[in-house]
Amino acid sequence: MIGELDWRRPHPLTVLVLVASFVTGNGFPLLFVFAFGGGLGFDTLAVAAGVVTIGFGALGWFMTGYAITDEAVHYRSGILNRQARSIPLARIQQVSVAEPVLARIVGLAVVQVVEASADGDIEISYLGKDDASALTSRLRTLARQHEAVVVDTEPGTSSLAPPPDPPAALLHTTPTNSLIVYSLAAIAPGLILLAAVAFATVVVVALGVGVLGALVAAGVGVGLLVLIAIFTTTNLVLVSGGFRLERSPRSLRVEAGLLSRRQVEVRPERIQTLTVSSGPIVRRLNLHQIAFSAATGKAATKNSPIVQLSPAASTDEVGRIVQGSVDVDPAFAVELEPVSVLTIRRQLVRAAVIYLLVLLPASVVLWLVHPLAVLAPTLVWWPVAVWFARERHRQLGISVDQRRLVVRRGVLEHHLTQVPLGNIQSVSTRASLFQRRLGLAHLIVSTAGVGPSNHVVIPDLPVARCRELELQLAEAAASTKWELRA
Amino acid sequence: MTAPAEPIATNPLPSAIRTLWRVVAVVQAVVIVVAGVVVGILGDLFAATIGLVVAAAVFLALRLWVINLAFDRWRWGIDHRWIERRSGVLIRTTQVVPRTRVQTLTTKTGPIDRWLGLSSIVIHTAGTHTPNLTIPHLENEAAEQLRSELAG
Repeated sequence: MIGELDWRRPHPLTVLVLVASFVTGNGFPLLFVFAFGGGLGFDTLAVAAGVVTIGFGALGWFMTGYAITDEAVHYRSGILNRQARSIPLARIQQVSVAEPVLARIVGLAVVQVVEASADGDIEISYLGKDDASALTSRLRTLARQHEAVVVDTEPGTSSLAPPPDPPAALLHTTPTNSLIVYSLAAIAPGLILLAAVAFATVVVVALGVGVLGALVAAGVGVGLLVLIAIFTTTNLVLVSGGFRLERSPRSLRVEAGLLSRRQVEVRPERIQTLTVSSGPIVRRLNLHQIAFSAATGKAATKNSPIVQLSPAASTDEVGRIVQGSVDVDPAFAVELEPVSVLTIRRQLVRAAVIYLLVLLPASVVLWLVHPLAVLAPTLVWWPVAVWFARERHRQLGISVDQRRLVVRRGVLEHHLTQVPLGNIQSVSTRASLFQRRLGLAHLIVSTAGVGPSNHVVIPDLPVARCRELELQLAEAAASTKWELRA
Repeated sequence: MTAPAEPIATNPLPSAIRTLWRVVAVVQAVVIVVAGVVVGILGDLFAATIGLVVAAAVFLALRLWVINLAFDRWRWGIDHRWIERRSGVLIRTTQVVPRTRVQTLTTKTGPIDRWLGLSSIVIHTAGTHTPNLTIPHLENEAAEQLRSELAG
């Protein structure tokens, strides 16, 4: 039956992208054959390699096809290992457009069709930009119509297609300069720490080797710090640049990236958890990152703009963005209940273990450099460890009401996560030997979300409270229905 | 806020499985010792062989003790709201999966399980982090009953 479909091929320039991505990826050694083959008298080899590569690219394009029927999206590809996949229109979870760098250069894009199953998605690569956006909006409309037909099974309801959505309202854009400020502020604590370590090294070198060696070491250190700052900031700007968040009645649309641009559509009801985070300096500048975990699509990494409502939003904006996207408040004002103060003791035991295993041996090495340096690790480690343990306890807090669980944690970077109780999938507890001796346990609350923030761990609750919360959260989850088609 | 309910995880695993765990531990220890003794005799390593036998004996005793503890700690239960599991010797864990969140049920039986008339039930929920809740080595009837109760 699949053979009778109206198969269409991707854009012909796909050949170029396939060849280019092969050469820059696995076929990297081929570049040398192309570049130097002639000079070394391997003309024939160079030409043959070129012909074979272009041939494979062309064949790859020729053998790829997609078709859209009234029921499903079909895709087939592969030269030797042929693959065919179909996603029924009613099962489409998400349609998005991505523009990887190589494709972007020649004006092409990928259309990704995501299904709820783990079988994988369909990626139609590559189409012209206009074709891609036309296909995307067509698929979105088709998916919506099918959903409407599935839902409207009550007698007497109209089976007409739903009216087209009103245009999406722009909820948030992140200006590039606030991304740069955010990036520098976010890495500043790490850089300061690195600078402190570097300074200590320079002092040790000065004592051991002499002033000239110390100056060289200082120069190298400063150079490295600047390089790290430039690299990280450039990376963030390239990945999250031009961030846009739009809200239409049914969905949220996230768009980001300067080189590879991605656009993702998420239904607000699929969002399982929401986390507002900020580092120590970022906080002083009133900036926050808002991330979510949704029950759809592939796992994305923590700093991917695809799982964010904003990569850098000012404090005043956060409430409006969160409210506008998922109709809840960001939980800034919620009163939090602290966890057991014994968590400080557990943290200090950890610090002692690290001290014995790492810092004490390091002290011995330093003693060889200079007898005075032997005290440095001890003098630095313990004040930091004590401050860290106390600050961690001070920040840790939870709150449960009828609707949601709110958890705050983090020492330098603070994370405020909220989970609507209806999204909880399972609750578990975990208590190590040492925790049991202190009468503590971890509570782990899992949701159906994908990605790094799809669960929350509440550390070191008193055992009785942990058990009480475990049952309370399970009870709340058991009394609500949860399904993907919300 | 509801008062904490009594734990519903009160069912132990079938005692046949403790016997099986013990047999497996003993057989593994015997195989290691026999192999060690053969190598020791061929290589003329008397002291090392004695050391290996003693180490194996101590390790076996420890393992049998842990098997006992693990078996005693393992409890599971189900009521109209959720499925619960408690287990662990050093690190103790509990897990509660509301019945409304059960997505898929899998029944697994290995060759030895089949021979003893046991099967394991794996309960899946949605999401990538959520661990699956496994109730291992139930007697076939109990497993079937649990399966039909959850599926129905």
